[in-house]
Amino acid sequence: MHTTMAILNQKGGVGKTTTAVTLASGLARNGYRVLLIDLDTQGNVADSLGLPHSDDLRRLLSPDLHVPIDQVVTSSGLDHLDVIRSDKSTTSLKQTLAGVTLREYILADVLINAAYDVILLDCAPSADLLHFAALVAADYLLIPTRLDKLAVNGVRDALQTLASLRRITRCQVAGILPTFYERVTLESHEQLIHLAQTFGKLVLPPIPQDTQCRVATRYGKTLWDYAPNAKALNGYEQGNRWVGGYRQVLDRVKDWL
Amino acid sequence: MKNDMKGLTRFDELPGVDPAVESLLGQGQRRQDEARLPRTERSRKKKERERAQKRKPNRINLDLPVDLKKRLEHLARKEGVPISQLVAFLLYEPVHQLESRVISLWGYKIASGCPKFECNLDLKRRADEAAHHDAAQRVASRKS
Repeated sequence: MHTTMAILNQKGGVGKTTTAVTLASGLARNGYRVLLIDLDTQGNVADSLGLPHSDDLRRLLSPDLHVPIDQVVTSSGLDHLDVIRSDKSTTSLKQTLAGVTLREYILADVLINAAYDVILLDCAPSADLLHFAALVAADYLLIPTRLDKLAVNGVRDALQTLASLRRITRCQVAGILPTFYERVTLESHEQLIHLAQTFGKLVLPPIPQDTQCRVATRYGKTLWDYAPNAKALNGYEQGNRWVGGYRQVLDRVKDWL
Repeated sequence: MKNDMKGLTRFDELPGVDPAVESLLGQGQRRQDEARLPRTERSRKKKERERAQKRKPNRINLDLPVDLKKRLEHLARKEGVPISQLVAFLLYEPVHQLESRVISLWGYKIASGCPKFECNLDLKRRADEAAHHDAAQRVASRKS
């Protein structure tokens, strides 16, 4: 039985794909069998892993094709990590699905027998059909957010969307992940306080702003491979310990599984 | 949440938050507080913080009499051991004796003019006694 986690925020550019790829590869390195599904038409998961774009998602979800999941899954090149890629064809998929009954369940149905420990869903920054399908299929919702007003509003929108689907999903909010955290700027500090004040323990250790994330994507490598000492992975040094970063978040995620 | 006079949000009234988040917020708060201090005070605080971070929990700085320091260095070199380990080795027994009141500091304490400590120890007397005891032992061993 797998655990499915949707990584979602209706605001773009908050670090959803970086978070999805880094957590997926981190879990895979820890021995979990992980499937990462790209639900975004931009197909950035493939870019981040150095793979070509493909219409895997369209083939999996098209009601007239009925392709089994093991025929659309691609190896990421990393041990224990498989991916289902996406590309522009996902746009036409959404149009096709618009006329299908019970379309919110389409993802949950195809994933029901997937032989993985963890399935991560990297959602598009829009409230579309695949967004709802991801929330119905997911056990947990992880909401990355930049520490600025607009992105924090995106957290509110994501929670409202989840609330609107409450009758048909068992998905719980696992955490809100502050990204692009800059400890020297007042705005980051203020917004982090605002988040912590509103959501308390749901707020996860923040991910420091780190150029290495972009560089790693350019080379099609995960942060673990490209820059294992990156600030975004290790967080900030405080005395003899490290605070924040994907390593610490990964430990929290492992607790949910 | 409350705002202080400069409009900055303080986090001291937050409900339960992740320890890592709390730690980073605490650090951010301290930075903001320090940002309002004069430059000299700010750099002094920064140096203090850096010194505290470098300090290891098992490390202490000691002021030793110069001759004792030289003797310890000589012994450590002769035995081929680190001086800190040699000092730790030599300290176990007297520390235990002091804890169990086999020995005491009585007679060596002299009033201190420093407000931080009540007394100082008369190390010169201790050194003289140790030298005298050493000489007496040598004479006794020669006679025997």
